[in-house]
Amino acid sequence: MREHLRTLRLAAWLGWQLETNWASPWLFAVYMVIKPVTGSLMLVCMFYAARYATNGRVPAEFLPYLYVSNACFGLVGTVTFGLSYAVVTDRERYRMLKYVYLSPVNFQTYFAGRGLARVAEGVVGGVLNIAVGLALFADMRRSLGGAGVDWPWLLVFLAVGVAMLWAAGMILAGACLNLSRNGMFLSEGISGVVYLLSGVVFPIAVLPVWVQWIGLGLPTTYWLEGMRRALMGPVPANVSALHGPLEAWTNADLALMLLATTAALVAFALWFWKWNERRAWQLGRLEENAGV
Amino acid sequence: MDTPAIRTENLTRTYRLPRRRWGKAPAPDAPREFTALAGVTLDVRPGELFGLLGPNGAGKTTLIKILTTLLAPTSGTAEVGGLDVVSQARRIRPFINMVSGGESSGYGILNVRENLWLFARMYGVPTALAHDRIDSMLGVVGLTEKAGSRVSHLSTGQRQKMNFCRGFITDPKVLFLDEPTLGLDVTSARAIRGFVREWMKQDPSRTLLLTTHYMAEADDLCDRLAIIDQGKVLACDTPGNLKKRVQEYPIFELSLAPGSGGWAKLGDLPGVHQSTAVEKPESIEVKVALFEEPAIGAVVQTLATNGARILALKKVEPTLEDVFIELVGHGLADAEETTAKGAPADA
Amino acid sequence: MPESPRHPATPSPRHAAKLFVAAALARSYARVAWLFRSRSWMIQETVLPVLAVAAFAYSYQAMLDPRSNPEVAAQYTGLVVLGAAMTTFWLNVLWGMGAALYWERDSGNLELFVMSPAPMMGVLTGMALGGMTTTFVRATVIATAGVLLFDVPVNPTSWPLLGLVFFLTLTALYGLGMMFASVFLRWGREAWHLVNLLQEPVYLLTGTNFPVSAIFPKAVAAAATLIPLTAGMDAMRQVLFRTPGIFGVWEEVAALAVLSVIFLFTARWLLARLERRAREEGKLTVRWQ
Repeated sequence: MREHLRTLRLAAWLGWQLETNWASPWLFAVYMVIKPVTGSLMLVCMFYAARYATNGRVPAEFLPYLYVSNACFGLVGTVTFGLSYAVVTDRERYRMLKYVYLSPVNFQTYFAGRGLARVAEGVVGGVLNIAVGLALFADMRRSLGGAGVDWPWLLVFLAVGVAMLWAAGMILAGACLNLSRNGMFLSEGISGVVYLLSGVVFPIAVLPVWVQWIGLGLPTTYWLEGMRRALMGPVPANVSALHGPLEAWTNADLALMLLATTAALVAFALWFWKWNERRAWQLGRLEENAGV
Repeated sequence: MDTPAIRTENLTRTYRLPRRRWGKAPAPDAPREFTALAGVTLDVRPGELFGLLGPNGAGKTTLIKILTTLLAPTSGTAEVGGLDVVSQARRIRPFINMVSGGESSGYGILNVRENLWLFARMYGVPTALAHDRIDSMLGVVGLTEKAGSRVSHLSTGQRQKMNFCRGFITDPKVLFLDEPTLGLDVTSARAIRGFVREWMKQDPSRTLLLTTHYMAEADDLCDRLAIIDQGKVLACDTPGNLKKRVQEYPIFELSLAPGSGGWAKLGDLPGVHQSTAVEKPESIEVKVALFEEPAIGAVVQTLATNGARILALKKVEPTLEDVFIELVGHGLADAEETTAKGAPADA
Repeated sequence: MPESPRHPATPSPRHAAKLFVAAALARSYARVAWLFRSRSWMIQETVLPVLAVAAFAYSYQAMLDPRSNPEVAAQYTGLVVLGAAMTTFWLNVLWGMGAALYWERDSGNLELFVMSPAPMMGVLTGMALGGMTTTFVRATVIATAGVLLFDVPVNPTSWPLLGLVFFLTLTALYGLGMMFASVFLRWGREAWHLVNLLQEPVYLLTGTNFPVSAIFPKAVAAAATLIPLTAGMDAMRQVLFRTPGIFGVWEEVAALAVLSVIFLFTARWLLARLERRAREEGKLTVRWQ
């Protein structure tokens, strides 16, 4: 156990160093804010464009829904892309993957540590993103200030969410072990699919029914619903456009379902990583360098 | 008189050390710059195979980078083919090339032939001629069968061989080889050395600058050598002349049977400069430095008349490694000085 | 050497032009080869982006309610599909051009290009041509899938005009990419992060998923047209969906033509200047920064 903790700490330190030491602290802070905030602002612009086109008939509740969902989902992107990037750069750029592999450290623990640095980055980015939204938009202040933040549930969803993010990251990083350099963009594509299926920027009721069922199989769907409720409370009953199949679920139902789907995801991630690790070892891909 | 193929004068290159970003600030007395080259002056003649020897971090690669127009000097001048590497870089590039042994370049998605063709086209080599040269070079390094293999599927050594071929297919007039045989097996390294020698013979106007850690390689190939350390040229001469420098007096080693006598008197003989001996259980190892080589007769005679049994006698020939250690590894040389003045450090 | 007959003093313009073309075609070969040899790209770079695009299309459908506003919903979905297709070029400009020299340096190829007589503009042009080819295939797949999946009406006012706008947009975009490549030549990991940083702000400023003229004040929208993607997409939307634009189509065509020339010349100037700086600072060959 101590060995794992030491590896975790070392890998998290390395991840943080690699993430931050390219820039001065203030430039890094700007970087942490601009990317997620402009991503959210694009959704804000879409909301106002829709309002403009319908002469203001789009409910105001859409804005905080889009903004908060997107800010939370930023964590998914940061962690999954971060872990894939760690595999690809360790292999092709720093050429260290093979040395980590042959060292006595646990390969999975090492990447869990690299992921922790990303989780820290993602959480700070998400908080700053929501803070900017609160500062800029009255609709955001009304939604987040109205019901108040449900801190206990927020902590529950965040805690299970970290395990979910790690598992998702490990699945994509595992796939990257057997893909070329471009493999790291696979995580962007997959996170785009999850973005669609989990209903980040729309209620999943809009999707065809069979697609909704796929969405309901993903832990991210429950996690996002839980995070939105913990931060903003339930969607008001009169805004039917934002109602979805999880409307009648309690927070406890959501948390249990999130736990169950996350457990399945973690189990799959552990198996998938091992499978990919073995395959990469068999095919000699741990030190492949295939620049394009 | 011919324009030197390569000429540097008082060439200096310093690097600014990185400033603080995160964490502790550097100590106030920490140096702000690192000097990689400190006033290097060299002349390499056309047709010469010139070697650069030096320990890691001596400045060899920095010198090559400057000469191949990849790095600007901080001060001083450097010319290749009479052209200045700073102001006339574009005119130098068509007739130079470089092979860096420790690095693997190229596109993993392309095969060996395509990679070599791509780089040949960067020099404007017509496609048909490029393919002829590729075939011939792949044959030299024994990579013909891998011509159609993707570079991402090659071993490190095979990539290195491909990289070696890349340097020659543009038929450069001045070629820079930076550790070309690093990590290659003995047979491949020998084939490469043989090819380099042959390549130089084919056209006397070709010039080659070689850096290597293998002393035997440098001794075997180079017409002249410069020994470089901490950015400075410590010596520059033919391998033969360099070796003479480290051995002022001819040195002989004798191995005597245990219990042999007479060896203690050798230092008093008129032709002997210095003598040392080490007694071992199985033999007595004697080393004598002579003023003139014929004095060895007196040494043998003295030992014989004193009842010594000579098991072995050999003349110690200095190697480039001795020269290198004498010039660069001062500590090691100092430690050996007590045994015999003028004797090689590890002789 | 220059004064001796062995080496010509200066290459003739014809020889220089031939070398430029040879370098460009040789470098583009690696990218096009990738299109045919990398098996994963079809799923990774087309199917997955299409699904991601669908998210924004559904977002508009949730907000606009197609049963009440069918025309507006179709038009806005069209904006999203066009934005997604054009954004692939922007991503290629950023990652395939901007960060390209940085990757080349890490792979050990940059020093070989710099050391060769081939002009770096030729090498960059090769990257651009190769990138355009591969990205064109990708963008076509995304646009076709988007049009078919969401039933987007495709009825441009003029096909030749649409083609002209598209061509000029790509020229200006890749000119901008060459500028980025030159600038990033001097940077290490910062380049990667800056490229990453530029992605979302440009989505916002160019109005990838929304009409810029409906949201931004005129001055901001006009300033945003300095990014060729903004002017290009705005003009294409006017031609394709007849939406009101920031400026008229022909004004935007003229702006794109001017931007193309400016970017290409600035890239050439910057490349020479920054290559010199990089040589001075020793950054052409430093890996693993």
